[in-house]
Amino acid sequence: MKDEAGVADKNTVEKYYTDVTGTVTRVDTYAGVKGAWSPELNKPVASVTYNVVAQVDGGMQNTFTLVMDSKGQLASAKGHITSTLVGDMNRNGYQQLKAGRLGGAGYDGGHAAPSALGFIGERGGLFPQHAWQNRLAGAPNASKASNFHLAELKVIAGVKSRIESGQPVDLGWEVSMSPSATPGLPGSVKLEHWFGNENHQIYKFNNLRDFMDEW
Amino acid sequence: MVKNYGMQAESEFVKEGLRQLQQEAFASDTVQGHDEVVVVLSIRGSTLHRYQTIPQPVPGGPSAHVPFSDAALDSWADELKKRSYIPGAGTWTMIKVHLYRNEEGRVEIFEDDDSTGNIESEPGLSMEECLLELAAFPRTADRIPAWMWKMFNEADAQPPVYNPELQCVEWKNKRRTVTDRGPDLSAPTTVIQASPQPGVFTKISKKLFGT
Repeated sequence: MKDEAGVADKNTVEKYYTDVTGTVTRVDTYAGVKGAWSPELNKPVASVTYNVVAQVDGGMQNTFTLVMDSKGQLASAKGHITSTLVGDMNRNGYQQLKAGRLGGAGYDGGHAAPSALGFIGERGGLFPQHAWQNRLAGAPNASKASNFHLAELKVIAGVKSRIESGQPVDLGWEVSMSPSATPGLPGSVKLEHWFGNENHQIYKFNNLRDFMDEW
Repeated sequence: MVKNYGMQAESEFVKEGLRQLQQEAFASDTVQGHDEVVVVLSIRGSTLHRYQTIPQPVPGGPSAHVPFSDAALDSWADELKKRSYIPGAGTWTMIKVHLYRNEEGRVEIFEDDDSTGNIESEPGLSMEECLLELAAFPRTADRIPAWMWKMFNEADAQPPVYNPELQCVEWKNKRRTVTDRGPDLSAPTTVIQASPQPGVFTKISKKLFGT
């Protein structure tokens, strides 16, 4: 972390990496919280990878890797999760509103991983997500068995039960966006998650208004 | 119940896909010592769910997961579902892909026999999933299984139904042309007129209820 003079402690995770031309290609940083958001993560740069450390409950750390596409939009988010984060210090309603606007009416700024598992609230971790996929709001674009939010809740429950029973969590989480005809709006969202060495579960969720809406 | 739908006509596409998957599977470090990989894929409407059943991880051991590429597996399966569609008959909702180290792989396809599910731990289709599946891959009324009709009747829902005379799907008082890959979404729907051509629902209603 940086001291009051803005000098980074030698033990800090915060680092910038550049290519041979001096262009930043990778940023290692901490996730922010309300009142202390990460400026790097709130203004993500195109074609940069962000390795993020998030402090979570029990003195643990969850780590996330965010890859931004050539337009500075989130292309993928991977995480290794060891604990939960109680509360909403990592939620940023303003950034969520901004991210949701890219999708238009019926879209929210959705998180690529659960806030309850310590994922960042800054702009870099958000994407325009169909509101029903994000929080079961508005007209469905799929069935409940095919809902991102409900899939998240199942995984969060799995994390909590492992914590309660004293087992290590060791959750792997990967989300990637597929483009649609609308720039900046993912057409589908792929989610892959697994605990330890258990079988991976892979889902692809629709992120567009269902064609049935216009039937 | 296992049906083939249009799979036989796509045998080259299936074989090429299986060859690619075989290469990816057995190049992976995670299957050293194993000669078989099996993956279950469920594609309902626009949603995909998949998981590996063989090899299973050993508690405390290394991961046995094979990281298949999207192009080789998910996109291939999605395309295979569309190519397997027969207008009026439907297509599969679930497949098991069997891959072998030293033999040709195979695809086992399944149709949900009922709403309780019939394979591994995959749940059966919900009423909403049935509607989505039939909207995306329309069937004639007689090819919609009785257990689906039961769910629709209990929910007072009318499903999309394929009209073979007009080669279209009829739903919510509208018609949409159906191609051999499903409804033509680039073309607008047309409103069904009450006369002179009765919709397929009028005929079904007369047959079922005599009204």
